[in-house]
Amino acid sequence: METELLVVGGGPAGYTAAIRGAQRGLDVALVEDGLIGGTCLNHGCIPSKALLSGTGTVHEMETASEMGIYVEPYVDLGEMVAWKDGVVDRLTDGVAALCRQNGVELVDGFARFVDERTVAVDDGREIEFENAVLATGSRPITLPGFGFDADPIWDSRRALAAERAPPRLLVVGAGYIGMELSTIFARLGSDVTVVEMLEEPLPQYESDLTDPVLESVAELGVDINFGEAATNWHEDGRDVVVTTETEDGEESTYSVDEVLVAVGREPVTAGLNLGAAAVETDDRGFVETDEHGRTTAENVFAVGDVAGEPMLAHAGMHEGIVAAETVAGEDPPEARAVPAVVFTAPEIATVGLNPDEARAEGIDPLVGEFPFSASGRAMTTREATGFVRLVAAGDGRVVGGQIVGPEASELIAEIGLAVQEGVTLEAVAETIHTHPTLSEATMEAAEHALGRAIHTANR
Amino acid sequence: MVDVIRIPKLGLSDYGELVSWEVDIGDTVSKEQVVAVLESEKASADIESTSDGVLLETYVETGEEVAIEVGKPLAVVGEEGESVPSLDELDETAEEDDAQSKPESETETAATQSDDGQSGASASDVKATPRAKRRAREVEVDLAAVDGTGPQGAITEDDIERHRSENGQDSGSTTERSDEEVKATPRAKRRATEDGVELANVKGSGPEGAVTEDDVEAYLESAAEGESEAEPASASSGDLTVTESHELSGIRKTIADRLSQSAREKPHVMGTREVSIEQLERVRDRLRTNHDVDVSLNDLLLHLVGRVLDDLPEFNAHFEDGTHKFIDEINVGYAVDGSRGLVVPVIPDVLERSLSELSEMRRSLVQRVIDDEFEPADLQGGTFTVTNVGVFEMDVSYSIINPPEVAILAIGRRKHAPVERNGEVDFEKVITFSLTIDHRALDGADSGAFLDQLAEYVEHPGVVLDAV
Repeated sequence: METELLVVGGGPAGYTAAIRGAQRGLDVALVEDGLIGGTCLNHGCIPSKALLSGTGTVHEMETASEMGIYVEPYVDLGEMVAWKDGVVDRLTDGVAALCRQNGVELVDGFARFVDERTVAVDDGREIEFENAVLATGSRPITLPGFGFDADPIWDSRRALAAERAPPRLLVVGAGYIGMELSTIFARLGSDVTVVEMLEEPLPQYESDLTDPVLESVAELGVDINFGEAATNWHEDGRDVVVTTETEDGEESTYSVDEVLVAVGREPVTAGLNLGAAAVETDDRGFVETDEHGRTTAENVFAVGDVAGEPMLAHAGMHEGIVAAETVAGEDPPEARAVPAVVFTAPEIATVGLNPDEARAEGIDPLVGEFPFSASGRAMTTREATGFVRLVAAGDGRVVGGQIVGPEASELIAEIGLAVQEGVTLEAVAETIHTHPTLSEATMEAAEHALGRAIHTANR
Repeated sequence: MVDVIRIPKLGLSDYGELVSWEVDIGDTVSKEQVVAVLESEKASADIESTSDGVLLETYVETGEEVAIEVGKPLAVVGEEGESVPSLDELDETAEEDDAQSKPESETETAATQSDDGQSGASASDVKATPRAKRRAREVEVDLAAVDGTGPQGAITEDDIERHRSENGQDSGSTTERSDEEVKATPRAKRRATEDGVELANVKGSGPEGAVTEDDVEAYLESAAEGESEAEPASASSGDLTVTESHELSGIRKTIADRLSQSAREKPHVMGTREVSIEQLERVRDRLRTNHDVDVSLNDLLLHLVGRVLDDLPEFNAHFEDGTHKFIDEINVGYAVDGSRGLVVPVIPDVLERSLSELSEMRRSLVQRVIDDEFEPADLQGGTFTVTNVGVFEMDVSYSIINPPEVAILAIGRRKHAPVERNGEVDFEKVITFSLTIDHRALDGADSGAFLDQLAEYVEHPGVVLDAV
């Protein structure tokens, strides 16, 4: 079999590259040894967002007494998981159909590089390609001694398929996966404890963004212990006893029912025989690429998680498009703004530069903020914590934004557009935003940066 | 050491019947083998042996009505010849077991999680709302020991509080109901308005003690049987001397539930007609003397009702899910006042039986009900019901339709009624038939047609009974 563009891996980065390649007239084959949609659709973004949404409804019902509504929901987690699986199935079927409709040939199997122009699929077929896009994604990192083969040790995939909420859950790691899953299980009534080796959660974000999240999970009863590394575990009767250690060597033990290890993700490159294609990886195993996704092999590209940070589905999709356009000889789109979101409650969303990063780049930033506590809409939805912050260069062009609060994941898109297109604070401030909405906060933040905010005090 | 088979958590209602022992005392049983079947009004459940051995003793007899309480001993399994504990001894053992299984406080390290009362495999299997789980942890209640009243039998926060107060623990319950104001869910309010229920009379089981739609429904059901626990204030027995009280259970409760549902959902309309039975009695007598067929008037009426149902298939029907379903088989139910209450055994395919066969089947079914030896299968598959209220010396009866059927016919007592013949007053034997119809599926005109056709057959039986 021969193809102009071979895509290895059918996650968001891979299938996007395949479809865009086909749209550009290339003859495309996509090899996937698991489920189309990859981690995002099957074991990550979509399932976790489904369960966050489901348990968010539970939380809303439980706290509705503030509005005079008294409800005590009972959750059949098995049914909720089945509903989530239905959502996932519809999406994966849809993606497979899109691939076929665009003329992408789907090959079921595991591809291994034979040389720079050939892969061998595990069913014995060989595929010769002119160009290849590597999109094999990532998988959860195991902690030494906490192999996922042991029954009480869960990875995120296992947690998202759990049909019962464990009475006591220990989460190792306070990154975005640990925080999102802690929120889910705490809402389901589990007694959740988090241990984090570092001294802060979500280390890629500033503390003013993470503080509201810490307050919110604390209200749910989640206990986070920073500066503790999980060292080992053993079973004691029905209990799973986990030992942690601080830098000073102080030990603690936790008796729980299940342990979720969420300490990061590593690239999936094992078995691909990348050396045969002259594709090199960095010391963490990620494939090295240039701005177009090209690897050390001229005709092999790498996109998505396997190419390293940011390990975000939407970033991977963009990279897939860039690689496919490059292979097709087109001028690929440039991404100046890659938003990132943590779907905790409240959500955190960022794009572009924060004030410190702007200063580090030599910009004397214009910064404006608007707190949701001053937003009528936020108050009516009982989610008036957090703020919107806009960061602009001296000429007024927006270079970044940070949001923590309700619907941050949606609101960030407007700031993303502003950063991508170099929109000015003036333009954002002068654009009429619907009242009363959460999106007004972005307009107010722009006005605040310009020193003329109406609904908040100007500095 | 013997092993006790106890009632597990079944999700059945409070009372049920031990329908059968699947093994006899002395039989060898293996673990998870079904040894008995328990049945409540809604479902039945298999009781399995908890170990291998010999069934040494049973504590409940076949047919006995039992309170379905988790942990109640049903039987013991052990080695042959082993001594068997009495029920009293078992109660003592159970108390000791409880005492021994009390959780010990944890003192491992400062960071060790305190025991939340939920540890152990069984706790994670217990259904509970998130709020109940949190509350159980707070007040150190073992969820496995609490009975759930929530959706799917889940334990609610209220159940925890009730469990605590029953066990003498301080209850910080916030569910005390205010006397000034009746709390009710919007659905309960709508339902109460629709059915004319005063919410103040209904006990609330929802959050904050709010009256739920289920509570209103339960109130209506009990009120329909006149044995409401939550009676209206004006009819309360509070200051009166109650000499006897009977909580509904088992089959009586089933009857109450089904008939009150029928009365609530079906718009009942009754029509009556007085019909002469002079001819029919002559037919009965001729059958006895000329054909040696011993049939009662009831048997003949059942046959003629079958004829009418054949002529008017809209009556031989069910009404379910908004659909009026005509049914091919003509299976007539015949209401019998049994020792456990009103029971309606069914005579299948009435028109396919000879009169003597029909008669024999009716008598056998009635006897089985009176002797309390009927099977659940005897009560199934009815398409129309006949009830003879004449045995109680009643002329007419506004009978409640046996759901999902669409009509019921009550046969009144035989009596002499004056009739006019050639300007003279004469008397003849008559019966009043009362036909109650479900007005959603049938109209008054249908009712008239049914009684007309029945009168035709009863007054002129020769039309349909050729042999006589």
